[in-house]
Amino acid sequence: MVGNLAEAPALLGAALDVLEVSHRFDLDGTLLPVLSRVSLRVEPGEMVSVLGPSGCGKSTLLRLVAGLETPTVGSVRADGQTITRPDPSRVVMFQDPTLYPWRTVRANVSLGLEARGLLRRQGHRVEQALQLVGLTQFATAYPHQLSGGMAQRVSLARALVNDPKVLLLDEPLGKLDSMTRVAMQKELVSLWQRTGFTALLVTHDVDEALFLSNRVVVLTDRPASIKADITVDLPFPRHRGDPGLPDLRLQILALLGLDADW
Amino acid sequence: MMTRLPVSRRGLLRAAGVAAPLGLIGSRGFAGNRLAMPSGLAAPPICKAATVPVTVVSDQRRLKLTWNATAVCTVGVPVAQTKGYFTKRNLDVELINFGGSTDQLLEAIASGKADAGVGMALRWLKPLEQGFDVRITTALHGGCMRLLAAPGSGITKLDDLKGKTIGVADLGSPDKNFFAIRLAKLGLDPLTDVEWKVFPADLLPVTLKKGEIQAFTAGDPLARVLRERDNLTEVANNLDGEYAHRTCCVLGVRGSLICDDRPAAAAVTEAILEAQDFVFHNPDEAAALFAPYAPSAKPEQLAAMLRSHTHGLHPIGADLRQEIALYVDELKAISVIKQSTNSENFQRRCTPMSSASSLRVEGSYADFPPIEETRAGFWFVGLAAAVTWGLAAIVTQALPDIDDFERTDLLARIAGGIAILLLIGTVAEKLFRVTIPVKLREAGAWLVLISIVLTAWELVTAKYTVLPRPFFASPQALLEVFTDDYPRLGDSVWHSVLLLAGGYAIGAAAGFVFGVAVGWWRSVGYWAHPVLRLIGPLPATAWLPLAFFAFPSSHSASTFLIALATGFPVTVLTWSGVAGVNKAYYDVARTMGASQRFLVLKVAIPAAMPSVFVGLFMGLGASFSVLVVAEMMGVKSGLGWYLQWAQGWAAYANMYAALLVMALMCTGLITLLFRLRDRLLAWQKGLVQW
Repeated sequence: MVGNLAEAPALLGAALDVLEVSHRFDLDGTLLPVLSRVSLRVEPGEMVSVLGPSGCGKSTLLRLVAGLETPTVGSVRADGQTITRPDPSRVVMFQDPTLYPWRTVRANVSLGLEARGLLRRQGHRVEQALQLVGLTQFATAYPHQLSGGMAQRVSLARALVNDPKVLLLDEPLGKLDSMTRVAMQKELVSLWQRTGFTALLVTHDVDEALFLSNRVVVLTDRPASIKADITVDLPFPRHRGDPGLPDLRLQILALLGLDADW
Repeated sequence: MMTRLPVSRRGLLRAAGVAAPLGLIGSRGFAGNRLAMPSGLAAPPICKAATVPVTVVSDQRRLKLTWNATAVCTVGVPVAQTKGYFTKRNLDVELINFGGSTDQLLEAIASGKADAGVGMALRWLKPLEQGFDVRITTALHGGCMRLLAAPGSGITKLDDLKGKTIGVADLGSPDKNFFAIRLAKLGLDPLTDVEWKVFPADLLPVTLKKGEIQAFTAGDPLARVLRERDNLTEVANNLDGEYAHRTCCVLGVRGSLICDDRPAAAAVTEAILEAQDFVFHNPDEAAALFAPYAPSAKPEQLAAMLRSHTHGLHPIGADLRQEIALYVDELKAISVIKQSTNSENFQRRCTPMSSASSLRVEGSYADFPPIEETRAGFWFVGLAAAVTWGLAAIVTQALPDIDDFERTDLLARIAGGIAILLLIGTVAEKLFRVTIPVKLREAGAWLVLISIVLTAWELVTAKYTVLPRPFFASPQALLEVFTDDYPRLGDSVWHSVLLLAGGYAIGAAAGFVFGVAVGWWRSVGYWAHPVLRLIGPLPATAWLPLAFFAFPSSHSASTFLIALATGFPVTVLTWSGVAGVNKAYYDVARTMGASQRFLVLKVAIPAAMPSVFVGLFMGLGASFSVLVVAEMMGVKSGLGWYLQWAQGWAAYANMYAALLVMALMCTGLITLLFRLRDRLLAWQKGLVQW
């Protein structure tokens, strides 16, 4: 067992394989195709961003990887094992912090350990996670007393306390104000570097994708398939003024059909 | 046990509102009505064809006559109507049927909604003692009450009832009073040697079969129909022995009608008397006239009942007063009529000549300072409150009461005490830097208002009777209930709390579990939803008979009713709380490896708690409103029971006192529940404050 999150080994992450996945929603009897033959591999410890037009099925892809839904066709695997249901090794961080309002910050962070009956033996990990996101002083606060950024950091701590092999991020910073978002992006990178989990990030912010990830996957309109898979070969931590970024940004915007606006 | 107390029977008799017939009918030469009743009451009635005089009023009068069509002994009323005994006296009489509740009937007469009514002496004497402005002008007949026991129960005479439980329709019912008197005459204490339990009249035979009671009392036609249907043993009735010729039903006339329109009062009395004679001589025809009102009895049965009653007996005047006086003594002996009643003052108030309306003219409240002027123009609200409370004390003490109130002094002392405390407090704060609690300071304006309301209340009730007695009880009358009747009231509170706590706990727990199940499992919801929608909104009274059959004891049935009333809102709101939980909460927990059990216990239930508490509040309110209904069944003590008991006696002061206690209890319990919620739901923002 890993005693200290901050000193986690570099190769903690799991490999993800999305194999020929197609998925449909049943909306009042009409079948709505959402994903069409999507194949994607994420190497252990890699951070991959998924970009695409609004409502194209990015979040659906994430839910399939999380195991909250099973694909209509094809399969999703983690370290070669087909994913059929949620597992604490793959934790989702949602756009809303979805903290439980009836629990204190500490109790919210404890959630995963408590659900698996590990709280008594590994309770110290809760304090470590709180320390990691800098909220030790707010351990006894209730969610309604927190700001949006703090709440999202609690949500992050709640995910990290499970020692995940895969972190699935569903626009986790989408609702934050721009300054808080920039600060959180930096924290996310540093956490990722220290712990070594595999990360799949759904976002609609091109700059965020470029700042955080090894690769950027661009999806087509619904039903989504992969339009482009772009490697961002720049060292971490990145600088927002890195000369390699503007070209990549224009390339991606063009793929999204937004280049004319620039 | 019969304990005679030295209270003037005559005074009480007047207090009970018996009209002096000489001024009413006797003066018109109505001599034939006595039906040759010898002075000894036990003598048999010798019925001659007496001719009732006919007072024809000059201008046609419209009168409202209330009666109770469920009792065959009131047969004279429809007879008088059908045979034209009213119209030949130039009266246009509208009959108002009050069903089973003769106490309401009396209220209707006293409040001017009706002009006269037929009721039972033993039911009315106690309410009349409370101060209703209604006079008894004539008796109608004797006999219609029976005490029945199950066949083979070994109960054949009244002595056998020692240690037994007797069912009654209500604790103020005339049959209960009558048989209590009979028991007392046999040397049994009707309060301790037997137990009285209240059940709805129609459920009495069922209760008898279930063995929860060993006998019950009822009036005809119900009593006789049940006796024949279930082959019950008639242990006693008011048709034998010294009571064979005692008055059972009486005619009550509004006091102000006697005062303002004597001919009309006389005419209506005559018409009823003439009808009674007709019933006596033509029971079959009378029974046929009454048949539409008693669908459960055959006309032959009704005629047999009428023959068995002593319809030839309807004393007025001195004979009536003597009979009533006997009843008053007997009612005092069984602790129904207050021992402390001052007969002299009652006599002054209740003689036919000085009705409440004339008293109002006597007292002048014009020379009283308007209440507004007593409001001190000081800046300090506490001092103003001290002044207004002081005035309340002075008004209470200095002005003469309209009647004997035992606790006037105490009330004045309490008001004065509050005034002095406030004065000391305000002065001490100014001079010695004593701090008055902030809460008390904030309540200052309320203290002023309360004292003003108290003074006004005191003036319009105890001092000048602007508001008619006994509908409006005076403050000291309420105080008297608390000082004198606290053992019974306290016992009632205790029993209500026990019943309520049991029913509420069961209902809340069951509603909660059921609500979670309905909200969580779709299959449970599928079956439960239509049932809840159909059954949930039914009033608790509708369940009374079913609950009674289904449960082994009346206590468990009462508990069930309260639990049901509590359970419905708790179920619905728990269900909607669970169903409304943000689905993302479940996703979060599931991705972290939560089991189904964890999702229910640690996600669904805590997230639904705010809604559950709304249900608990609604359930508490509902449980209070069914308390009265639940205590209609075999309960010996309780606030609902106390309310019914007080209302049956028209003891409104007791009723208001019990209502006050109930309101305090309700608000106390709600406060407790709010405290609990604030503790459990501290995480919630914007909680409603209580």
